[in-house]
Formats: sequence, structure tokens, C-alpha cells
Amino acid sequence: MAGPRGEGVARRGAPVRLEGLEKAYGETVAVRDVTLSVAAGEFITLLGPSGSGKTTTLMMIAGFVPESAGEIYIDDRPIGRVPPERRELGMVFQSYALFPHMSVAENISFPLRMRGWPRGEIRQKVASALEMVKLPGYEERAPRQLSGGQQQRVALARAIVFEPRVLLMDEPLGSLDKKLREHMQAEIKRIQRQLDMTVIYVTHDQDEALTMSDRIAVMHHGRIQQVGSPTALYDEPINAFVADFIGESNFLGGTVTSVDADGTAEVRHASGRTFRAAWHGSVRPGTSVVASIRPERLTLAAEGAADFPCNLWQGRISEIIFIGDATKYKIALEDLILTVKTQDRDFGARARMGDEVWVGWSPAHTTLLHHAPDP
Amino acid sequence: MEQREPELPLAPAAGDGAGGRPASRGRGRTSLTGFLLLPALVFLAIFFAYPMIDIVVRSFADPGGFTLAHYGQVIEHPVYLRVFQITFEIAFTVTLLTLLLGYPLAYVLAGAGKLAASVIMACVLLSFFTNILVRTYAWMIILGPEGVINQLLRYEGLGGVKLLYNRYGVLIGMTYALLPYMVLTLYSVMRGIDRRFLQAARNLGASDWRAFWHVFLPLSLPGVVGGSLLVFILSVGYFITPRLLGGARDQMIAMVIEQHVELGVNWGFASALAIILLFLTTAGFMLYDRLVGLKALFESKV
Repeated sequence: MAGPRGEGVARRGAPVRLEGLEKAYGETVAVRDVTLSVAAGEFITLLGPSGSGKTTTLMMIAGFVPESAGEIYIDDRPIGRVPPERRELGMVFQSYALFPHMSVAENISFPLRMRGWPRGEIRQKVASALEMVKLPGYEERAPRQLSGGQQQRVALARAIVFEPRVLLMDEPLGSLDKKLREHMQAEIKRIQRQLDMTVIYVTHDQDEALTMSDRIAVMHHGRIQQVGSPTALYDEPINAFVADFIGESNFLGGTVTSVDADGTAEVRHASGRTFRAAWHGSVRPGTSVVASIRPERLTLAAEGAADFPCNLWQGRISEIIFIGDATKYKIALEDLILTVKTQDRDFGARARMGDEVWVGWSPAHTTLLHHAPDP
Repeated sequence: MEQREPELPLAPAAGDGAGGRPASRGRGRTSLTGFLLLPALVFLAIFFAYPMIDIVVRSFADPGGFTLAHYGQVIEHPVYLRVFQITFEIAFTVTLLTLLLGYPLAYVLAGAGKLAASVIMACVLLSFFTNILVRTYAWMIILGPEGVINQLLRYEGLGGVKLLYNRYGVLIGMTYALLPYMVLTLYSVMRGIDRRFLQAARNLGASDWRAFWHVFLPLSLPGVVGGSLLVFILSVGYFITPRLLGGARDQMIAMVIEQHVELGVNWGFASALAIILLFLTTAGFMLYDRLVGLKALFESKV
């Protein structure tokens, strides 16, 4: 079945589909049953800790690692038997992999030369690619004469110069410092929008994933744990791993005691305290649940007040950590510690270690997870 | 005592005002370096520099004092120029053969898995562990008129070939003996080539072969240059193998020098030959450096 792409329609990103992708090295399984649909022009991030199988998945898409099972479709065509050089995928490697014996121009023109483009056109194309990554006039430099950020830009130019419809990026910003990394994130997004490419991006940095992606696939132990928009993953993580990996979270285990018609459930914490949580789907009294509450959703007050959210527990400040734009407090209750993140500097000015405080939060910000998260 | 102090990293530049360069610290480092190098320097001075100077002196000396007679003798008798020509011919051919055989071998070795690599490496190194004389005699048995090769050829109904006491024998024996040097030099460079360069090339549209040609081969050139230099230098002065496997027409310069020392006891003339060999080899490398650039050998990778 041919795609609906007609003549004259501007070239744009191709859809990518992974179906039941699996990679086993002997007994160890690096990637298991990865199924993922990436829309044309979408920026999707494979996010996970090292060893989660995200890079292996990317290498299978690029064609460097043969899959043990499953199939990869690009533009609805299976590419399992297509060698890497004919997959027409742009790729930015973690170490950039710029050819050290070639100048910047020779590096960028490499994919065009391999495709037999005419000389004049190549020169133009290289110049405009350098323009796009904001390094005009750098043609004759050698890669080793460039800074890390500049090498990164050249690698990006080389990956997009032949107008691939899909761009793969393997931790491309890993070796840059924080400021430069943030700058390059914006640059990559700009170029992606301009060229309307599908981007599959691999990173272990959750901030990077949250700021750049249309959707994020969180991977752990070779499996996709959850796929969703950054806000969906942050606000409605389906298990403790996702809740913990994306941002920070307080986890409260307990048993549902009652479910109310207003969409909230009462949960009895292991300590005997109760709290209310918004519930979705099937929660019945007696179900074991884990609730996840983001530290910034908790509020602190020296005295209990009437306008406080309905979940209100008392504890003592056991640690104060100033992190610049906010302050983190560890609040010790008898048998658990809650982390609270607040920008309330007035509270901070008065707070002392050991102070008795009230911790409050709203049921709407209390996400119920399955009790047994994937290990 | 004085020398320990300048090792403080913040010791100010003493005297030398050039941009606050920590000159005193540099001097401290230098004296330590000098101390560590001393044993090797003394050894080289006694066993290398002195004999070298002695050879130069002898090549210009006769009982009456200074003379150019030894050098004149080389030019007078075309046979010596012919020996130099043969020597360089053989050295060049051996270098080429070891490169042709060694490059694919090193390539496989650098890309092989752990087990395969250690097996191949053991095979390459095994010949190193055997005495050169024993190995050369083994070749005499293999290549001889009644040797394995000729027996096989006759068994197949093909005529015999003469592989011993001629140029073929010398080339086979020397290529065999010097191959490990080439393979090890190439291997050390190839192993340092990041395989991701090849992946990048494939990803950018290069076939397996073109990725090799445009990326791997250029990056392995320092190994080609280094290995070729090493094999060539060793070949030029080779002695035992051509002596045992070669014929009268395959005399290499080292053999002629030996004859003049052992039989003629003509130290002056032998020295002159050695100096000419040194001169020609050095001149050859300088030319080579002009054309190819030995810099590639020492250039660091990105």
C-alpha cells in the first residue's frame, strides 16, 4: 500500500513504527517487546537509565544491531532487511563520530558524495547546512579545531544535509555543559520544526526529555513502561518507576477504605493515617495502592489553617536544602519522610530545623499507582 | 634541597619574565627527567654513539691517516653499487609483500571477537618465539628441491620449481620473518580506530566497501607508514635469511660487510659500506617524508 504522499507535496517526516521489537544477547534480553508508533514529524524521546535498552532500540532502527524478533516500519515499509546505508536515516552519535581526517566541509558533504550529487550543488548544500547550524564559513576547519558545541553542530549538519525524513539522536548533548546543552536543545527543536523531520531522541536526562519532546517513551529493563506527553507522564505516571524517574515523588502505600461518588477515594496509609486521592477507573475498597505526590504539590504551614487542603498531616522539619529557585524540606513524620519543594521564601525565613509544621496537599494531586510497579 | 622547592605548582617564574611561565618548576622537572634518562643515555653513549663514531672514523682512515680510498673503491667497482641496488630492491619488495599480507590479517584481527583475536595473535606471535635460525632452516626443508612444495607439485604431475638459493627463497623467508612487525604495528593503529566512524559512514550512505575506503583506510595510514618503515629498516640490514636462502645473485649489503670483516679483515672498507647504507636509508626517508609526510605517524587522533 503506497503512502498518500502526492507529487509536489513538501517532503516531510516519515512515520516510524516499531512492532514487538526484541533483542537478546544469548541469555540476556536487552530489549523486549517494544511496540511504538511515531507519527510523521513527531519528536519522540526514549528516556531511561543506562541499560534500559533505549540505545539498543535506536541502534536497531539505524540498522547496526540486528533485531532478534519484531519489525521496524518506516513510512509503513518494513526495513528489517535494508542495510544501514539504504535506510536514509540521519543520525547524530553520542561522540559525534566526525571523521577526523576530513575537514568540516568534507564531513558534511560525505552523505551527498556517497549519493553522487554534483559538485556545485554539494557546495551550496554544505554552505546552507552550516548556515542552519549557525557555523557559516567553517568549511575548511578540522574537527579537532572545534569546541565540543561546534562539533555537535557539525554532526547535526552532517546528519540533516541529505534531508532525511527521520533523524535519530543518541544522547547528542551528553558531553556539553549545562548552559550549552540548554541552548542546543532549543536549536535542535528549531531545526526539527524548520525541516519538519521525525526525530527519535535517546537520553537519560529527564529535563531534556521534558523540554524537547512531543511524547516520551520511558524505558526500564528493556521495556517501555509508559508512553505519553511530558505533562501526562509527569501528572499521571502509571507506576512508581515512571513517577520516580520523571521528577521526584513522595510515595505513600496503603489500602483503599472507601470510594466516594465525587471521584475521590479514602486511603489508609500503613501508619494508620488516612488521606484522600482522586481516582480513575477501577478502585475498590480493599485494593492495595501506592499514591504518588510531587514535592511541589505539598504545602507547608506553621499552623493548621481552615483554607488548607483536605489532606493535612503533622511532622517536623528534619532537613532544609536551598536549591536556588526553591527550597526543599524533608518533613519527618513518625515513620516516614515527605519531601516538600516550595518557593515560599517567607516561610523559609522563619523555618528552623526541628520545627513542628503542617503538611497539606490536595486529593487532585495525589496519583494512585498500581501497587506492584514493574521492578 | 634547592631542587625540591620549585615543584610547588604555584612557584613564581624566576627571572624569565615571559608571561609568567613557571620556569623554575620546568627546570626542576628537567633535572629529574635528566636523572631518570641517565642510565639509558650512558648505555647508548658507550654501546651506540661511540661505535657509530668509530665506524665513521674508520671509514675515512688508513694506516697513513685520512683517506677517501674506501669510498672510492665502492664507486670504482660496479658490483658494490649492484649490491646496494639488490638490497633496496629486496627490502622494498619485502615491505610491499608484508603490507599486502599483513593488512588484511591485521584488519581481521582488529575486528575479531576476543577468542578469535587471541588465536590469531598467538599464531602471529608464535613465530617470534622460535629462533630465527631454526625457522630459516625449516624454510630450507619446505622450499628445497625435495621439499614439501616440490613433492606436492610433482605428485600433482606439475614440474618442480626452484625456490631455494634464489630471490624467491629470500623474499619468502624475509616476508615470513618480518610479517609480525607489520601486523603488530597495523593492529595497534587499527584497534584504536573507533568503530563508530564506520557506523557513521554506513548511516550516511556508504556501502561496507566505501566506508572502508573513505574512512577506515585513511585512518589506518599511520599504521601503514609505521609498519612499512619498520619492515624496510629491518630488511635493509637483514643477514641470516638471505645468507641461508639466497643465491649468489641475492647478496645483500650486510653479507658483503660481513665478508670484508670476517675474511678480508678490511675494517675501513666495511665501515664505508655501512656508512653509505646509513646515508642512503636516511636520504630515502627524508625524501619519503617530503612526499608522504611522516608527521602522520605521530599525529594524534581527534
